[in-house]
Amino acid sequence: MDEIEPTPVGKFVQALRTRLRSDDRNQHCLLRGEISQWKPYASGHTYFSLRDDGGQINAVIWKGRCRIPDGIKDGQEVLIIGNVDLYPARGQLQIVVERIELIQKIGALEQQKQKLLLQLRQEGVLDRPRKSLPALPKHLVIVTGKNSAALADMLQLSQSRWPGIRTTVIGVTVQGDRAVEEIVRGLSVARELSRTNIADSLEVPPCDVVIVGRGGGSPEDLWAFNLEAVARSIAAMPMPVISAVGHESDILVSDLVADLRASTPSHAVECCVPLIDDQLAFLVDCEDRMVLGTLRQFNDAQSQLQQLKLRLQLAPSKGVSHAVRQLERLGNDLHQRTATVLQHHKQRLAVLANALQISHPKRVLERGYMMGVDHEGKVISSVAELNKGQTLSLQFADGEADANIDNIRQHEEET
Amino acid sequence: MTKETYSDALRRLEAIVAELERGGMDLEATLERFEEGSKLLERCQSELKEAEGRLENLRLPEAEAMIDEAKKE
Repeated sequence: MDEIEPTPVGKFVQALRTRLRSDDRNQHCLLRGEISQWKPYASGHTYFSLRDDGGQINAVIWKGRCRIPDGIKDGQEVLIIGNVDLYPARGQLQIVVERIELIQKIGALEQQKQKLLLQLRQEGVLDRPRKSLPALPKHLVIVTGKNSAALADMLQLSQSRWPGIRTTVIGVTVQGDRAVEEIVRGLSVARELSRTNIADSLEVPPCDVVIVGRGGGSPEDLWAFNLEAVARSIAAMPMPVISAVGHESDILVSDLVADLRASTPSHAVECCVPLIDDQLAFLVDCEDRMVLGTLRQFNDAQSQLQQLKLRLQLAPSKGVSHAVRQLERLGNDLHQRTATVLQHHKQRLAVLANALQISHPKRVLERGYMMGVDHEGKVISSVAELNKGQTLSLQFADGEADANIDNIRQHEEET
Repeated sequence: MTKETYSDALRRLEAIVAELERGGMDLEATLERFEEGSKLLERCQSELKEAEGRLENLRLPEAEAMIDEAKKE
């Protein structure tokens, strides 16, 4: 029987270790305690104990495994995330640290942030008028972590919204000791790019909007965006700046001083890069309305002339035939002008149709819009064209459906 | 350079469209507005389509070197 045979202790300890490590409850434990016997070794590994009044456990930070906060020492309170392990050579239980944060430091930093905010508020920096974003940015500058996932997301999104947008990325360090300095320097490059002479010599349009930010991280990782130099630099920019740091819930000083706060880096792109299909569709709509408005006035004028002519012809007095001829000339003139307007419109429509062929209207429909069409196939663009009880066909990207009009509510016209 | 921005052009265009839809102008004014509107439209459309879309992905020292170079010229 197995039980009679004694287990070699090494094997026993190894088996114990396997059991410990295979239990999920021993992985990624979040612990709070005080540091004692903090000992960095020449090998690069650091050993210490994590203790409180109720007990203690040994801990190790393997070389390069996680960032060690500056100025850490015995007696400080920390949060750690780590895995329980057994060191077989000594049969010693220990926590292998994946992440360590000073609790006091976060508290102190928070105080510093509040102090800065108070000061900025007193100086009026927080209440200053904000610059509005250009409808069509000519040159977007992004100051963010070089090669970061946040950057990749932003570039991908902006390309899909408007492939034509000119972008300059300035890759900086966004966390750690050098972050503040690099972000500030990145912003000053953006400022230089907004100067006409610099932009001209680089043959680019001047920068007219800036996104500064980074993806999510711990409060300490994001901290550079809470510091004075970055805040002041953002506030002093001549063009609108969007601050996009971390996730929805992270609110930093940079968010409060920027012209616009985006909840995430991708959101920043949505704020400043237009959806080009929408812009083009909007312009087409403007053109339609403009042409219709113009033609209607020409028509009105023409029918007025017609009436005038009729009345003059019926009038028996002298010199009237001269007036009639003059009116006829006017009428012809009008006719010609109408024709010019129509001609102009036709050419432009052809150009437009060409440009929009790829994107409209199917792609608009694919985004969830639908188009209403009456029984003659005419597109309905106003509720004024509808009657109660009328049936119209709703065209979707992948088919159509018939609908009855129950109620009609027209918006009051803006003046 | 006193170049009108795209936003300005768009705002003006919207005002013209509203004016033309409202009507009540004489024909000269109507035609003037129509021509101005057509020019604005053309400008806006070409700005959308003619943007080159170049992307410069630079590290901070490269970006700074680029500015220094531009200042020398």
